[in-house]
Parts: sequence; structure tokens; C-alpha cells
Amino acid sequence: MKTTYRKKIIPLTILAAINLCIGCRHADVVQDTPVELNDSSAAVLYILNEGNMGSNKATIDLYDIAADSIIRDIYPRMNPNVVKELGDVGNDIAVYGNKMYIIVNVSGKIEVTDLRCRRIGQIEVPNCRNITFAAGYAYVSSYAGPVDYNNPEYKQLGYVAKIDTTTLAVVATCTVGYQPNGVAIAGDMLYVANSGGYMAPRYDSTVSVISLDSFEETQRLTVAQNLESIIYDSIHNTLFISSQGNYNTLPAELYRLDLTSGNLQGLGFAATKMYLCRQKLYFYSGDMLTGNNISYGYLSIETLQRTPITLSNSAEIRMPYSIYVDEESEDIYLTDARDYVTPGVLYRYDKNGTLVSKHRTGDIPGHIIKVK
Amino acid sequence: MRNQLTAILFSILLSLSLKANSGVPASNAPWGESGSDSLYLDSIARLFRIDEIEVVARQEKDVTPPQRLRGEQLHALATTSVADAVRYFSGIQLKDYGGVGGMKTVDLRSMGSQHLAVFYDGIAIGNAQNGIVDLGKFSMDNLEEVALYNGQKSEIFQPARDFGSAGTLYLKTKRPKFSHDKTYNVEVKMRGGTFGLANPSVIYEQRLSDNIHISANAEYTYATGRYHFHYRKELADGSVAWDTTAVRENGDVQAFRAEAGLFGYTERGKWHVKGYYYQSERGIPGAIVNNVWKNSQRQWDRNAFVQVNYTTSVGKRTDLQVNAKYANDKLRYLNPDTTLMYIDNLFLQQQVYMSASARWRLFPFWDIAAAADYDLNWLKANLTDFSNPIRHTVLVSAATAVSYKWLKAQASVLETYVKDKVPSVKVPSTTKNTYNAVTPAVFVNVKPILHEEWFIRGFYKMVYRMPTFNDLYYTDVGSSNLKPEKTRQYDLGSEWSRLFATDVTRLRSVETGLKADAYFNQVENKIVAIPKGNSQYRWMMLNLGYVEITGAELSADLRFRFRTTTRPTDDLTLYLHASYTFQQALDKTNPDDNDQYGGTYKGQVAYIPRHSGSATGTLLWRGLTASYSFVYVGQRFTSSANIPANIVQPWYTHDLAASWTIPVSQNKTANTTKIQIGLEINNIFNQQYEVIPNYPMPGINGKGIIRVII
Repeated sequence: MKTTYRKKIIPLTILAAINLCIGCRHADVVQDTPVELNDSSAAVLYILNEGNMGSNKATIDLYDIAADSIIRDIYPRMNPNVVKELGDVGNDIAVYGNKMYIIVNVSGKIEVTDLRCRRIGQIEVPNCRNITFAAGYAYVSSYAGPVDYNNPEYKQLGYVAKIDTTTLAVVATCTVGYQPNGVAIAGDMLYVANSGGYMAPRYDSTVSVISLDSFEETQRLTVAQNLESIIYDSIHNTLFISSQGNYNTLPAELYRLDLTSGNLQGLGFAATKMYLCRQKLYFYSGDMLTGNNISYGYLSIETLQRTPITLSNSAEIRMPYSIYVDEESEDIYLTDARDYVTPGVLYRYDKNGTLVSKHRTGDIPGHIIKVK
Repeated sequence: MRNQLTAILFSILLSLSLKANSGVPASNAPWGESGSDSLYLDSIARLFRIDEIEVVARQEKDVTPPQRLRGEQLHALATTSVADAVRYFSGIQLKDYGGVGGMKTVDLRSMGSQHLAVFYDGIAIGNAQNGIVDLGKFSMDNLEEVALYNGQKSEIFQPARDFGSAGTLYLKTKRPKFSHDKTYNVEVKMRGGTFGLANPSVIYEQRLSDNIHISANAEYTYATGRYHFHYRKELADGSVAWDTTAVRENGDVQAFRAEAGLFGYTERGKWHVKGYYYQSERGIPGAIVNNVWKNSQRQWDRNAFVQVNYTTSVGKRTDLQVNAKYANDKLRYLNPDTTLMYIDNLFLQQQVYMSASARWRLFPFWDIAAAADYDLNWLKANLTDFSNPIRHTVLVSAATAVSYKWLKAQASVLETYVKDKVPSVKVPSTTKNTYNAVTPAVFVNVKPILHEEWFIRGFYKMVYRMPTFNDLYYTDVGSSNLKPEKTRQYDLGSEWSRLFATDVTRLRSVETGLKADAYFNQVENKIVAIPKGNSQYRWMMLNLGYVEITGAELSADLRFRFRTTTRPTDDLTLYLHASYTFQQALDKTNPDDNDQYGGTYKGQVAYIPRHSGSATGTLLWRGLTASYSFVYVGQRFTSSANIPANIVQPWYTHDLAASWTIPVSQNKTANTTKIQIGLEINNIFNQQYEVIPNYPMPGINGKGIIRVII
């Protein structure tokens, strides 16, 4: 009989132990207290981390250039009352006037904040991709254009939304090609890089040209398959347009479109991401599937000569995901998405490619802007 | 008549010897029971035939006993699908996307869902497309047993396929049993409850002759899948940052399942033919993210298969078994939301499977066995440039088992040969489309003290997981030069059980059981998905990753039997079970990636809790059944970067279930009509939680059940 009771004690103890563990669940708490960001703070970089689709982990990191320090995920700290934070898959970030615009792709919105990341409002644009500005309006490319259900070759056109930056309202839309990505303003025209990514492997290969006056597509220029980003060089009135190839037989390549002559030129090398700074078009390229054979360099927009940049820690970089160059110091910033499911890294280099510092970021750091 | 008497005598003797042999305490204790035991007891109950007993009786106690839920215990728990039931097993992590229709997969000992093979009535459920079986689709309605084996079933007389996974889950449907001279059984069941659930089912069993029984079963499930969920975030000072309640949408499901089985018994063996049909339409509720509270993706499934098993003994020393299966599966996935990528994909998958196995008894203490399987899978899809792959798999196994007083051991070796054919080739020439591997497994069980039911056991198993069709050939995702994932498992465990008969007036007996296991697993060349290019709608697969898993599992059982009258059948039984699992699953892929701000090296792998456990209590008395169950899953991370931002809160649920069976008519031939009324309340404390972040789980929910057994 004694044994009986003794045996009873064992499982009861186990049960009790498990019950003690139960206290481990905490309320979900917003990380730390809100950051005190002085409006007259020194220049900072904002790094928009895309976060994996479905993870609701689009985040913004703040990098203080002078102090060489980073504060991660500042959006919920500055806006603790926003339900489900910034959102799912951050796709672009830009500043216009005294507002910052954050394109959150899966959340289907453009988050508008002040330059210290305090929320002003949001603009609903489903499946939004990239943003640019001209004369008080924002232009946002979106994959969610009209659908022709009767077409047996079911295809989804994209569109560009024209947004009044004062009222934050969509005032007009203009249908463009398939799955438009990069947008750039050149004079009174808007150029849109169409990718056709949803139709892979039958990619789109055109640039839509939209007149800002009529906000209608006036022309469709054929460039190359699967266009991604587009940058305007106002000095030479040219566009740099990157094609990502078909990830198989057709390699990626950077194109230069002279808007004065209409001359299109393949530059014979690829630019996965690029950034124009002081007449130099910085870029990196390589096998983005494996992260192998990545090269870094810049193209002189004057001479079209390429100069390689040797990054002092290139072996450590696993998956470069964006490049940015500081206008003042010419310091180069590169983000590394690593394996896409874990925190990325921000590397800061001097203009010769020597590593200055590195910092962990959020997941998939993909877009950098500077704010003073 | 004389025959029957002999049979009864024989079976009693046999059961005694089996019990002595296996150390199973009297009554059907849920631990330490061997798989063969149940087969064997079934057969005694059924027919009292000597011949078939001969076939099965020599099967002995498992070298590594499974975790098992069966019979009353299984049905006393508040479970809807198999996924709910396996939560109670140690070493199992359930991935549940929520709701009746939400996908539910399990991961055994942190090796990944694809390493757990699921067998339905003895034959593996294939999914060459993605290698994952959605356990949410398997109803508990006609299941009689769910058994989980680490490594493989410790039975050498089985198809080669059964040796081919890191873990195996066996789902066994009810075999018809007829009391006395009854020739049929009918069971009609209606379940209804929250989420707009309506779930009628019917089982019909007929004795066609002494040797042939038929069983048919149909079930329909409808649910709106709607439930309230609640998100809340606090500031560090405890005040509310935000708080919101919404309704889970697009979680509706409509499913129809029909099964029919023929069970035959021959002089020297038995056969079983089974047909299965399942059809469903469901919404995919999707992730709840900022500004998105509803999704519209839908999925249609149609699964059908026919399978045959024939087992017989040839001569005194040889047993043979053949298995065959044809499966035809259709899946349609639709994203009708044109603001996103419009998708309307159709996948057709077919499988032809054949297996032959044999066992020879060299000596009374030594068996050898061999098996050969051929498995043909093909997949068609309406994706652009889809390569419509065909996979031939040949599996050959050889195994041996020794059983000598205090020692039981089993060793097996499996040869896997896989050849893929890709008719519409768009695959680079570097494609490796044949795989060949030989993998071993060894299991040992020692009983150190003759009269003590105490066992020490251990195993080693190495096995490969072939890349699936999706891994390899999914247009624009698949990477055709993948290597198979390799797992190695080392396990050391012990278990002890004892039955105490007591003299206390009320307490008739106490049975105890304790089990402990420690293990070490390695997963090499782990296949992971990474996005392709700069947009996140295309992914690709890579062999990336090495994971080391150190774990421990503890479980304890107690069964009390109290006298309420002098008749043993009036005893009140209280059964308590508790299990605890410790898992340290460390990502050791990149030694350089080791900083504290987001490094992954030696980080706990995504979604694996360090601590988890369950406890159940079941009370059985006459027609009354009541159960309480508790599941605990500790803190997890969403990635192997174990930083605060990636923490997923622990969750735990308390469930209650009760049922009452009332005889409504009784006559002397024991043809009793019974009505059973049941009530289940899950998550009684209405905890708001997520198993996968952004997939909110339901709060308190319940259902009522009425069952009529004729």
C-alpha cells in the first residue's frame, strides 16, 4: 500500500512541475520604450528590411552615421499603437519634402511618416512596388492592374498610381505593362520598368512611358526581358535600366537609354542593384541564386568606364541585397540578406571599399535612404 | 466446436505466454504493448481460429515500443483529427495553421515534417509532390489506433518502405468485430459545434461469412471555420499598446470521405482490400498581417486509393506478405485575388506501389527477413514549362531479429534506388536524377532483471530523405541538383512498468509505467527554400544547413482501478499520463554567423521549443468517460537567429471531454443498441495563441456528439 502512494507521487510531481512552467507566457510587449529622436539629430540612414512574405516583419532600422550605431525596428517604438506594426514585405522607401513614404507590398499600402518615422497616415495601393516624386505628386507602381477575364492568355497588367502628397489621396491611375517595378521621372515623363515577373518565363521587356501632363501612357519601349530598376541621369539625359534576364539561359544586363537620341545600348554587364552618386553608377552583380561570383564596381556615367571595387570583407558577404553611397563622404553601404530568414547585415565601407563597420539589421535589408 | 475449444485453450495459453514474455501488465495497458499483441488479441476476439493465430503469434514485443493511443483512451480525448491526437506524443511538434480546415503537419524530434512517414492501414501515404502529409485531413472517426515509432516499427516482417524514414506514424482503422452471432454492426454519428461544424458519419460492418467481413464508412464535414481571435500588445509599463479582435475568415471547409474494406481470413493467413476516397474544398485563411485581415485563396483536393495486403504462412518457418497500392490524387490551388499573382494550378499525382516481403524463422530465437518494393510516382501540372516528372523508386531491405530471454535485437539494411525521368526537359544538363544509397539501422533491447519489467534499449538509424518533386522540378523554384537530406539518429532509452494488486478495499490495482529516452540526431544537407531574385514571389531550393539535435523524453503512466461493486466490469478506472520533451535543435550551418545580434550558429532551429509536454487524465466508469488534457509548448523562435524579435510565446491549452453511453435496448443475444452522448470543450481558458506567427488559433471552442451504435 505504501508503494502505491509513493508511485502516485511521481506523476503528480511531474504534473506540478509542468504547471509551474505555465507561468512562462508573457504578454507581447513592444520592444523597449520609444526612442527619443531629436528633430535636429544628425544625419541618419533608414534601412527598410523587407521581412519574409507572411511574416509581417517589414521593419525600419535607424543608423546614426556620425555615431556609427544602429537602432533596430524603430517603427513600433515610434508608433506603439499601430496594430500589427509596419506590415508585410517592405518594398521601397523614399523621402519627399518633409514626409517619408514606405511601400509595404503585401500589406498593400504606402505608410506615410514624418522624417522621424512618426506615422502621418497611409495610402491604399494594393501590391505596390516602387515610388518616385514630381511636382507635389508621388507615383507608385503596382502589380494590381486591371484584369481581362475574357482573355484566354490570362494576364495581369500593372498600373501607376498618382498620389497627391498633400492630401495623401490617389488622384489618378495609369495602366502600364506587366508587373511594373522601377519608376523614374525624366523631365515631364515618367518611365516605368515592366518585369512580367508573374508570367515567368515569358517576361515583359518594355518600359512604359507616361506623360505627366495627361497621365497617360504615350509609348512602350522595348528594352530587354525582366526589367527591374530604372535610374535617370539628368546630366546626360539618359536612363539606366537593369534587366534581370530569365534566371536561366538569358543573362542579366544593364542598358543605357539615351533619351535625346533614343539610342538604346547594352552595356555588356549586369547590375543587380545600382545607385547613382556623383556621376558614378555604383552596382553589384553576380549569381544571385547562390551568392557566388559577386562583383562590385561603379560605372562612370561620363566615360562609361567600369571600375571594380574590392570590398575588404567580400568573402563574408553572403547575399548582397542593396547598395547605397553617401553623397557627402562617398562611403559605400551594402546590405547582406544572408539566408533571407535570419537578420541581415549592414556593411559600411569607405570609398575605397575598406570595411568601416558592420551592424545587424532586420530580416532582408533591402532599401536605404538618408535623412537629415 | 471441438476446434473452437482447442482454439480458446490455445489462445489463453498463448496470451499468458505472451504476457510473460512482453511484460505487459494484465488488462490493456496503453504502454509497453506490442503491435502484434493487438492484432493477435483482435483475432482471438474475432474468431478463435488457430491458424491465423499461428501467423501472428510469433511476433513479439517491440524492440523499441511505440507511443500509442488506442481504443477508449483515444476516443476519450477531445480530438477532431489525427493531428490533435499526436500532440500528446512526446517528441512531436505540431505545426497548426489553425481552424478545422487549416493545414496540420508534424515534426518528429526536430528533423522536419518530411522525415515522418505516415502509414494508413499498413501502407505508406505518398506525397511525391512535397513529401508532407496533412494530418488535419485524417479523421478520427474510424480510427482505432495511432502509433508513433522513432526510427522504424520494430518488426522485421514488413515492406522495405517501412524501413525508409526517420520516424513512422501508423494509423489503423477499425477492423470489424462481431459479438456472438451478430452479423452486422451499424454506427451513426453526428457531431456539431463551433466553427459552424456539422459532421455526420456512418459505419456499417457486415459479416459476409466466417472468413470474410466487410466494413464501409462515410463521413461528411462542413465548417464555416469562422472564429474570433484577439491580438494585443502591451507597452513595457503594462499599459495597452494596441488591442484588436477580428474574425478569422476564409477558413471554411467541406469534405467528404468514404472508405470500404474487405477483411478476409484464410487457413494460414489473412487479406485486406481497402478503397479510400476523399474530396474537399477549403479556404486557405492565410497570414494575418498589417492591413490584411482576410485572404481569398482556395484549395480543392481529391484523393483516392485502393490497396491490398495479403499475409500468409508457408510451411512452419516462412511467412510471406504482399502489398499493393494505386493512388490518384488531384489538387487544385486557386488565388482569385487579382491584386496578387493570379494562380489557378492543378496538380495530378499518381502512384503505383508494390511490395513483397518474407520472413524465415531460422531458429526459435532468430528470424531473418527480406523485402523488395517498387514505387512509381508521377506528377502532372498545368504550370508553364512544368516538367511532369516520373520517379521510379526501388527499395530493397534485409533484416534480422534475435529474441533471447533478456535480449531482443534487430538490424536492418535498406537500399534505396531512385531514378527520375523528366519527359518535357527544361532541366540543365547538370541534373542529377538518380540517387542510390544504402542505409543501416540497429535496435537493441535488454531486460537486465528477469522478473522486473525493466528494459534498456537503444538504436542507431541512418536514412536519406529524397528531394521531392517540388524541391526539384517546381517551375522556377525547383533546383535539380539537390542532394538528399541525410539523418542519423542515436537513441538510448529505458522503460519500466509494474502492476500492483492491492488489498485496499476500494483500490483493486495500480499499474505504473515510466519511460525515458535520450537522443542525438544529425540532419545534413537540409533542404531549404530561399527567394530567387529581388522579388519574393519566386523561391528556389538549396541544400543548406546542418542541424544537431539533442533531446530527452520522459513519460509516466498510472492506472488505478477502483472497485465500485464486486464485478470487475463495474470498476472505475483512472488513467493518468504525462510526458515531457526537451529538444535542443541547433543550427550549426555557419560557424562564422555567431554574433549575438542575429547570428544563427548554435541557435535553436525555427519553431522547435526547448520544452514541451502534455498531461492527460481519463476516467472510465461503466458508460461514463471523462477526460482532461493539457498540452504545453514552450517558447520558440521564428528563425535560428534567437533574438527577442523572433520569439514566439509559449502556448498551452486545456481541453475537456466527456461522454455517456446508454444502452437503449438489450436482448439476450447481446445485440445491444447503444446511444452515446458526448461533449468536448477545447481551450477552456480561451487562450489566444499562435503556433505559427500570424496564424491565430481559435479560443474556447466546443462540440457535441451523438452516436448510435446498433
